[in-house]
Amino acid sequence: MSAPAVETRLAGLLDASELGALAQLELPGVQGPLPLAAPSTIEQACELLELAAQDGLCVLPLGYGSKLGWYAPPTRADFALSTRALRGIRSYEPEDGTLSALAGTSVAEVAERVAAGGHALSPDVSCPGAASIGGTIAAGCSGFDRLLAGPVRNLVLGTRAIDGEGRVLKSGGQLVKNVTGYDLHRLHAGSGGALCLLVEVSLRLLPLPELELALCVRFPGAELGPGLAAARALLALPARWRSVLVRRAPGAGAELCVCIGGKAEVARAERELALVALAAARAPEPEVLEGEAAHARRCAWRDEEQASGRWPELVLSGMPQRALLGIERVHAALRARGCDPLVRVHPGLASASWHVAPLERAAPLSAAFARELAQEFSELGRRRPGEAPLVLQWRDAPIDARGELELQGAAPPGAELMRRIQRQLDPRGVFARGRMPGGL
Amino acid sequence: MTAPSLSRATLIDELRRALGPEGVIAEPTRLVPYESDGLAMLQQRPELVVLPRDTAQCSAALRLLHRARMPIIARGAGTGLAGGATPARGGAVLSTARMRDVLQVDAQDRWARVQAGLVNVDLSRVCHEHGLFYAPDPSSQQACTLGGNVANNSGGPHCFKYGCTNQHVLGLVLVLADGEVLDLSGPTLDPVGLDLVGLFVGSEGTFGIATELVLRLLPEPQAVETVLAVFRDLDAACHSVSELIAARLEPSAIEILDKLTIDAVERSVYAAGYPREAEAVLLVEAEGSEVEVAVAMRRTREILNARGAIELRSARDAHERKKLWAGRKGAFGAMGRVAPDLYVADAVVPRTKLREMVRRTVEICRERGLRLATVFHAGDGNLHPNICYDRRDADETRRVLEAGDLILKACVDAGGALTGEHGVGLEKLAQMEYLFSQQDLGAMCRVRDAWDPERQLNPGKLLPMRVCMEARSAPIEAPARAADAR
Repeated sequence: MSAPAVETRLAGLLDASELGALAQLELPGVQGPLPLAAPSTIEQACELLELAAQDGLCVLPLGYGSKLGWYAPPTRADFALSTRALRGIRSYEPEDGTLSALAGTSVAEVAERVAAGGHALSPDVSCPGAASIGGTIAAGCSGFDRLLAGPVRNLVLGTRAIDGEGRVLKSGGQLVKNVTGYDLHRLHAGSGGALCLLVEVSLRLLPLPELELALCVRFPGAELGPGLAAARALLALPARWRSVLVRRAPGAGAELCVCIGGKAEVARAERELALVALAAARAPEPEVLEGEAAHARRCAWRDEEQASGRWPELVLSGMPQRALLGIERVHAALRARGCDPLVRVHPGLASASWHVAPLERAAPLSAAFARELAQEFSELGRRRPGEAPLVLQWRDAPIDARGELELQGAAPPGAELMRRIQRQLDPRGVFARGRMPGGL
Repeated sequence: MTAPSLSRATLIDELRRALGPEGVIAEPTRLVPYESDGLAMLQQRPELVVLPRDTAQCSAALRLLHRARMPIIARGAGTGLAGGATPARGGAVLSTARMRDVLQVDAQDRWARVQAGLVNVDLSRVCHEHGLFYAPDPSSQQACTLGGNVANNSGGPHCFKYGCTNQHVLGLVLVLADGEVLDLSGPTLDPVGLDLVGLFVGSEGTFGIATELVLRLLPEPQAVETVLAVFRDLDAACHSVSELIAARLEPSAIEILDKLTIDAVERSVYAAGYPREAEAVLLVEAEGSEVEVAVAMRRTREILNARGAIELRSARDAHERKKLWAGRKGAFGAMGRVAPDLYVADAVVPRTKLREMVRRTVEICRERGLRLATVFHAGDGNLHPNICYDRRDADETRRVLEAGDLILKACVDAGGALTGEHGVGLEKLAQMEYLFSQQDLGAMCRVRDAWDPERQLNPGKLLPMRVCMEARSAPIEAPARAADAR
């Protein structure tokens, strides 16, 4: 069915205000932007998916679209279905520390609401106003507070999702402990829209810190080594750091950024512990911020990830021992090629990202360069017996390079089983495929 | 399921060849211990029991059982309380009892790779020399296996702080029903693609058999403080829990025992020094850095005193702490002194509904003339109403089952679920439709079919059979309106 024909079908179900176009997604062989539907109710979303099933159309689910570049382009999509108009907090139980929100609610809105009730929302993601809670969960996007709060999938208590036949399915619930039935919400978190359209998520909340502190240590040189060593000293302490980040902006020196948040007395004690450890590691004297100033600095560090622009981002993650060696190798290789990336390392999580500035900043990253990097790093991602695997992923890679790069990493073990699950849950292939590793 | 291609006699011979004579039990008298798990009222003798030594033997056994079209029921220590390890008629039990090795401990990255039959508490014992421990601590941890914990997504008192099993599994080696080995052992902090490991945890032996587990370890806390709070009133004890949670305090465990339980524990080998005149005791523990523990406990004591605790006792040392916990964890066993049988219900509600649920449970049992002892993981809203009875008394048994069903209905009506940690198994099959629609259950059936298309693994458990048959045979039908959805 042609795009105009699809638009006509959509217009039969939605008002003009609920229709649009997705210009940023370029599909091979497709001219022009993709029609976009943004239903205002769950019932409308069901009707759209029923229509897709009946007409043999292929749907690309999304929230606000902030993470489209995290995935390979789908093999086919006839229209995009956004949850951006499905907004609202359905239930917030301050006395229970749980919440359910419609998928199109922004992360910022949810965070603000629960802060008023004495809770912090995790994941503490970059640019929370530009991210929907449903899209964040579907992308499996953990936050800047992951060291303290754990991965986002551990905080998802339940979901409601619409399947490829337009049926609303429930998994889990708004309970902190529940083993009733299969945890399909564990499948939904990180499924990238390959299985269903998430319309509601239930989450466990954390206590809002009484006091926030931030420490920033600026190192004289550009090398990451001293910052990583100081970070290791901190991570060995019995303290619950909110985040520990080693970063370096292009042309600048390296920095160690530590965020602390909790009961006031505990946070101050942890600050003292950190200061002693940093002095023992012979780190330069840190800048120490408290309260609002610490909060603002944390947000700046957090939001830098998205705010850095549309340069491709290479993300490496794994278990600490192997990952830290891989991080040093990738960093050295990029520098050797004349790149001066924004690099951010979370040593406690063994993950790092490089916003790979193009060699000529005015020009986009070339496919040729991307191909060279992919070849250089492909060996890193190969798993050796007895070794924990490393995962290399690209985000926002240039369109013409995406075919060269395994955007979400190599096909994972169990890929065939994943495909069977996908076929069981979406036998008609209503949800766009080919975006996830293993061809999902 | 297609017809078997292996006779029973050939099957047993082939199994003995693959697993060794010690790996197969086929003599009827030796099959008796495998007839049930902790839900003793449901029993079925298996056709045979296989005990593989490792992944390769497990794969070989499953290939043969698959050819023989025999249902396969995985069993760890058989401590489950929902009939999850109760054999199916004509089925084989696959026991992990011979797979008990610790394969690797990575102290730097804090994980351990173990075989599924390792007893829960033994992992922490092994890791102690590295200053590490494994956090999920079900009450049966002296006996239950880590593989069984994975199958049930087991919790325990300290999962209030540390989370249940699904937050501690970094990888798995699985064997599927046809013998295929699926190596998802990573270890990884994040899955690539779908979270198969997360989905597998809690699948109650219906997806595959986990033979090796890669588990997250945590540093042993610098400080621990355990306080026993004594109350004249169970309701006041429950209210104080709500206040602790509302105050955003983060103790590592909050447990309640009622008077009948206290009495049973103190008359048993698990006697912990709980005051027998108390109507309820609250066991609160905080772990972490010294400052963290001091702050948490100071505020906790303030709340407990304000809520009417008549006494607060701190464990003075590790020995006293261990004793206090032994009393709590031995509670179910201690109830054996009170009645010949115990129906251990497992109910879970939002923490805000705990008091209401406790009152309703007491009412339901009183109306039926049943003796009730309650123990709960109060911090998680997970109650265990333990109903005393004698299974030889058919009428009493009927009343117990009726009470169990009403308790579950009350939980669901209060916004809760059917099980906080014991699983659905056989026990709660009929109640699944209290909580889930036909479409919800149909989706679960389809996911199960992706893992085990012939439904050989633990058939008849977790999902009502009727719903699964409909999910498989029905053509794609017009979907229900969203307004019909729950």
